[in-house]
Amino acid sequence: MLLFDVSPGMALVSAVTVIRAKNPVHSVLFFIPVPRNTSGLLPLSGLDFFAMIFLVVHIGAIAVSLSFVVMMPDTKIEEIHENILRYFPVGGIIGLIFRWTNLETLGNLLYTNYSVPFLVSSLISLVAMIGAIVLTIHKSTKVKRQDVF
Amino acid sequence: MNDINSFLSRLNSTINFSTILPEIILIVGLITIVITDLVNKGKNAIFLYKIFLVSTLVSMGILFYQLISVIAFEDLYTNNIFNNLFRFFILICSFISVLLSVDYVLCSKISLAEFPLFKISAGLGGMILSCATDLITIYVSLEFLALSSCFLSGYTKRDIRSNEASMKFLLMSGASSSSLLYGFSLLYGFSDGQVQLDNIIDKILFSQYLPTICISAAFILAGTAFKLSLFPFHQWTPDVYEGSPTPVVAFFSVTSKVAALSLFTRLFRLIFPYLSNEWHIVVELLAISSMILGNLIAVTQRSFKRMLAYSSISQIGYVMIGILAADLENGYASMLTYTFIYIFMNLGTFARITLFSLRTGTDNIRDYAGLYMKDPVLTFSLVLCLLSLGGIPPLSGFFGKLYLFWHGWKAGLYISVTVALVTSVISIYYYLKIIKLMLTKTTNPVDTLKTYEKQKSLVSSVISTKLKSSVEMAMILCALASTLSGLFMDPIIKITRNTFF
Repeated sequence: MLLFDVSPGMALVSAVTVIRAKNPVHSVLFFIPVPRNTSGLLPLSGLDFFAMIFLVVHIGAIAVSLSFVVMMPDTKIEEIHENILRYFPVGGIIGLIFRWTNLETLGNLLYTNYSVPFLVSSLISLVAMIGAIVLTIHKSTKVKRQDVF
Repeated sequence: MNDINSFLSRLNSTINFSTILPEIILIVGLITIVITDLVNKGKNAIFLYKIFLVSTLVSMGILFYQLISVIAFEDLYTNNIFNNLFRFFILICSFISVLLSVDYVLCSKISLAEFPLFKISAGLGGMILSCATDLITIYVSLEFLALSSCFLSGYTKRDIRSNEASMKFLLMSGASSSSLLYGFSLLYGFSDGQVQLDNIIDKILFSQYLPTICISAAFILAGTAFKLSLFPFHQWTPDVYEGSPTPVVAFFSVTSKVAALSLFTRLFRLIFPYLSNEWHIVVELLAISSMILGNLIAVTQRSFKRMLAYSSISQIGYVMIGILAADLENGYASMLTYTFIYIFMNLGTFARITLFSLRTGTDNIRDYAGLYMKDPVLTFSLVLCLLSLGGIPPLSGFFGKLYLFWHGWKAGLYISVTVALVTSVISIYYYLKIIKLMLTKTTNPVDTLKTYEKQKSLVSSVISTKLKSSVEMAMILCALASTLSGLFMDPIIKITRNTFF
């Protein structure tokens, strides 16, 4: 019970710290408790699968890419414009759509009734991957590459 | 084994795969392009373009076959004539715009292989959007179209204007998607958990939350108006059109507008018919302001692509009149015929601009001076397309506009049609200005003449003769369609007639 009492407060405090921290590395570090606490609240409304996915996506993907963003350029500036609080309404809306808690039910619906959006989302991921590489690849002779084939 | 059997039978009962066969062929084409590029290791990239063209043509063939035998089924896809026509339009757009982009991509030495990939994915997104009757499918396909267009507009990475264009496109599509999503979430809430458009309208028809449904309509209107570049949401259009590479501008000046048109019509027709007084007034206002603004600002432009951007804003204003004028006996015939003609006019003009910019490298209207002496074929075809855009008989633009304004007048939209007529006259001014510039000899820069000749020889040494004609093939196709569609209006109108739903 203590977990669910403390979680919203900690999420809010961490979110505020993300925005207000002077050091960008602090911002990224304090970003991590936010999805952790938010996904701690989700099993309360009965969404167990969604809580786990939330953890994987937000911490595993978004926090990691945020830390890459902080690492690469020469950030002496104090601001990263990352509004964490906007996750709450989005999470609420997505929570409204996923009313089923069981993974099997979710899979059943996703693969039959909603299979077209599912396939199109997979195509979106494919195109996004290829597009990101196309836009950023820099073929120079100084880069050492691995000769796989 | 039992599970798999029951799963397959459920799958077959919910989706009829023969209906989405055109999209499946495009997906197969997409995968083939990726794999072929990987296997060939970057050589022989022209083959990829041929794959694209072949798959588009096969899709079109299958779509024709389906147009004749209409299969209707439920849930995510509806297969009525309206949707099929839009799919067909988008296939035409993709086909012609790839035809005219081959030379450009070869010459500018950008990475060759992913270009047809993005075009296929954008075309696919547009096609699925035309058929979707489900909020989730609509959103996902819209995002697909926007993402691919964003990558396309930033394709020439070393050009800073291209980077700016793709940044603005990204911001615009983000704003449009978020606005649409907010409207959709309100609809989802009020219809008590329904995602499909038919079920939503059943549920919200007699609800007492009418003011809030108006708010939802406003957000959806804002979201689609971004894509259509109607008046207050048009700010992104000139910069994006000027910065992106020319064949890409050709592609999304027609494809994303056609897809957004189908989305707009379907959403507002299906969900908000009883609000039709309210949104009719708003759309009329938007259409009038787009027409006025587009035509007036296009007069002062010095860059051809920017001028075409503003002119396309005004063309969409005309098409909005067609949407408002839809009634029971004619359906959306006026809008559909005008869209069909608009595709060819616009693509034709962009084909000629691509050819010209390949040969001289400039986009300035002043540099078109005296083109008649250097290249009469290009001049003549450009004259045809520009006059068609302006609405001069006997070209098809005139017939399209005539039909559109006649229907608008019959439907009682007197102010809109009057404004449209006045602004059409203004548009003729800036189209004729270019034609006059091309046809009159000037004593102006001899150096443009010199660079013209030099580039021409450079281009033809790089490309084989087979490919050099692909842009010209696109040009000729569009020129023919621009002129002859007007004469063959009757069958086109007959097909587009029973599209009211």
